[in-house]
Amino acid sequence: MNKSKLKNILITIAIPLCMWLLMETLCRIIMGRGVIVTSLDFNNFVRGAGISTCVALALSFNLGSGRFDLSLGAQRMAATIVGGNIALKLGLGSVGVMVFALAFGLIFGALVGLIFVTFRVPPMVLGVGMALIYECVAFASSNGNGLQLFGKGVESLSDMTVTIVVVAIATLVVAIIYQYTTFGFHMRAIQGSQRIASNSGINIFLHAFLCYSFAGGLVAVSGVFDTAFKGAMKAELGFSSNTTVVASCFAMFLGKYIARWSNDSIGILSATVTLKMLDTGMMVMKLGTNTVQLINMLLFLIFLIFRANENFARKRQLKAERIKEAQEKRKRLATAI
Amino acid sequence: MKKFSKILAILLIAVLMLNLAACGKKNEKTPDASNTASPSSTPVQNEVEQEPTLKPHKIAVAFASLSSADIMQKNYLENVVGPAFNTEFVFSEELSNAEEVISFLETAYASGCEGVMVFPTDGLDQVIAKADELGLYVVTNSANIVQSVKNLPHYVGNVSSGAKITAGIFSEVVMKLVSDGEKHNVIIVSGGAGMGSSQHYETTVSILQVLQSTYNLNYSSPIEEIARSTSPLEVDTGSDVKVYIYPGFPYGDSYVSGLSSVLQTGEYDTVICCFNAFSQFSVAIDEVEKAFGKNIRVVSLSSVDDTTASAFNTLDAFGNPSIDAVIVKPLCAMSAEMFVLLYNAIEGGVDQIRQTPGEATMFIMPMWYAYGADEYNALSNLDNSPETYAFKPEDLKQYLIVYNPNVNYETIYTAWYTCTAQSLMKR
Repeated sequence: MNKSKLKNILITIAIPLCMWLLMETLCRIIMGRGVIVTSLDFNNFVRGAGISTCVALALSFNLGSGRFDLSLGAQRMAATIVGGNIALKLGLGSVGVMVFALAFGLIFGALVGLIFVTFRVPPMVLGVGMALIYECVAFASSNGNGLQLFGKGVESLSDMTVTIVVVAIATLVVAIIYQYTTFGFHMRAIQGSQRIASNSGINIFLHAFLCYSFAGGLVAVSGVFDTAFKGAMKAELGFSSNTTVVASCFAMFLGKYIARWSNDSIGILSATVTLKMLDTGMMVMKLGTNTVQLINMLLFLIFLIFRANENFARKRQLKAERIKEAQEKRKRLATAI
Repeated sequence: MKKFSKILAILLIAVLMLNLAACGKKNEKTPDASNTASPSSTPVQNEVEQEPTLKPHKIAVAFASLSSADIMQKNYLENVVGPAFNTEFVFSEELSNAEEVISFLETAYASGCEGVMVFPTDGLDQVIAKADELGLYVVTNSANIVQSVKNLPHYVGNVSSGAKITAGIFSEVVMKLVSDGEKHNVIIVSGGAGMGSSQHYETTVSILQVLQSTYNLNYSSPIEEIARSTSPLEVDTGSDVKVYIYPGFPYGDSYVSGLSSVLQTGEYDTVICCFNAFSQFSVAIDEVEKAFGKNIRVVSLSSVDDTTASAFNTLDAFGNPSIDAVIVKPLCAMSAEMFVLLYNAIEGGVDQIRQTPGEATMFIMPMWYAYGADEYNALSNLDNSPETYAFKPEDLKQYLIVYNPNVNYETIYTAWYTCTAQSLMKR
């Protein structure tokens, strides 16, 4: 392993580790206890991080190419409720719930992708429309009851080991897709310039269709874990299904930033763990959920401002150098005359 | 040919007359059909010898949410009340703000509605003013009469469980739970108590008062201040009994984890939810019960639906139901009262049913409560089973002026105010 690779790995690990150290110190000073004390604490942490990682990975498929799919939350809700209820009715247990939800997630995502590439509706407009449709699908299919997993014999879905295994598989699959497949190469080309990618023979429409499908599958996985943890998923209407997805935007953007030292999927995983540690620390310090959200969104804003002005100092330095060079040139010309 | 035309004309007239006669019979049958649903059991109905001819009416229903409990309420109005009283209902989708409700009112008016039940409580003064402007009689679900519009002629009044009455019911339920001679450490999930929800606030205050009187607690701050806390708070009780206030709503991902981390201290054995949040905590509570080997008792506000039924019928690690007691809003019984008020108003008896003529009136429909699965199953039948509805069409007749011209505020108020699950089950 060369030095640069080792440095990158260390930075990727150091970011969540630093957050843990910060939170651990604050919690010990303020509350007299650590962030993660019991095995249940760790269980909750892993589950929360797993749910957010899947959503952030799903977001990264489309958002990286400039498409914000606002129907992701509704896809998550519809796939979990429809797939979960069918699996329970068939008596298929935990694996059945996960497989059916994943299948419906892929189908719902693919449908949005198909409509996008066929009719070229702007992604955000399409997202709003499809979100409202999927919310109705979830509501109508369950007669307003949503999905109830507590007491249905699918407790293994809220087990920490299952969460770790599934999220690890999801992260690995996404990493392979991004790094080692034609799809990943095309994605990077499209992220650079859609027009150039298209002119060079990449089927950008097929690519968009696949992005929507993969994203649908990933949010469905997160939906199953979320429902297993909370016991039930309500069938919500009025575009309220999107809250969780919007909350994961910070993890996605931070993950893309951390990805410069690793890759997209590892970066997103690292970012999610970091932010989950922050959330857990704040909860231990007994901050209300509103305050936690406020701090999260403030940090998100600060991060976006930082990203937008990241090269500010460098740009100023270059500008100063150009001015200096021009002044010297003028001086030289004046001397020559 | 001329002869044939005459015969044809006579035939056509005969067919037309037969047709009209058939239609006439059909119209007369409508009220009779409702009669056959079940035999009359009230003296007022016995006095009614002839069924009045019911005029067709149309009533709109503006929903604040569309949960399975709301769907149940919709079915009750549409399939039970509507056919019995020749009334058609127009239902809204989920309406979250005053603008949406006003827009629905306009649509309802255009489709010929004469009255409206309003469940959303946002911007009620504007909503009521608009309904009055359109000539729609309006009954809302708000806990308080909207003072600025209380004299509008079409504002009939409110039907609500009332914040203080609900708080009183919580007190009763919690008292039974904590006065078993043992000390219990309690988490109060206070929801919007510090964010303007009067029901959550009154409930939290009453629970704190019950705990104070039961365990002789000496709170270091005034109860009102503790109840209004907007961040999690371990209350200084001046004793070894622990009380924890957990405010907020389950919008963010950290909400359930937050409560879970409090439970994981292993100190608390009772969770009281001032709003319908218990289903979100069921897995977290179950895990803590298993980890610490102790039973955690849960009391919550809820509704008659599959989630509550499932919670009562799912046993925890100790063989107890996942929820111990529940306080529910009887939506069908409540909408029956709203229907009675609107129907009477439309029939011209608006001032007859008001407490003070010309002024909107508050009607109380107390919440119901149940301990254990058996009580809950019996209670749920009163609100979701056609055979055992708390208010079947034949029960409602005595409160409608078309059947009973002597009906007034007292009659209606008393009937619903005294309508508890326990009294109905005895019936």
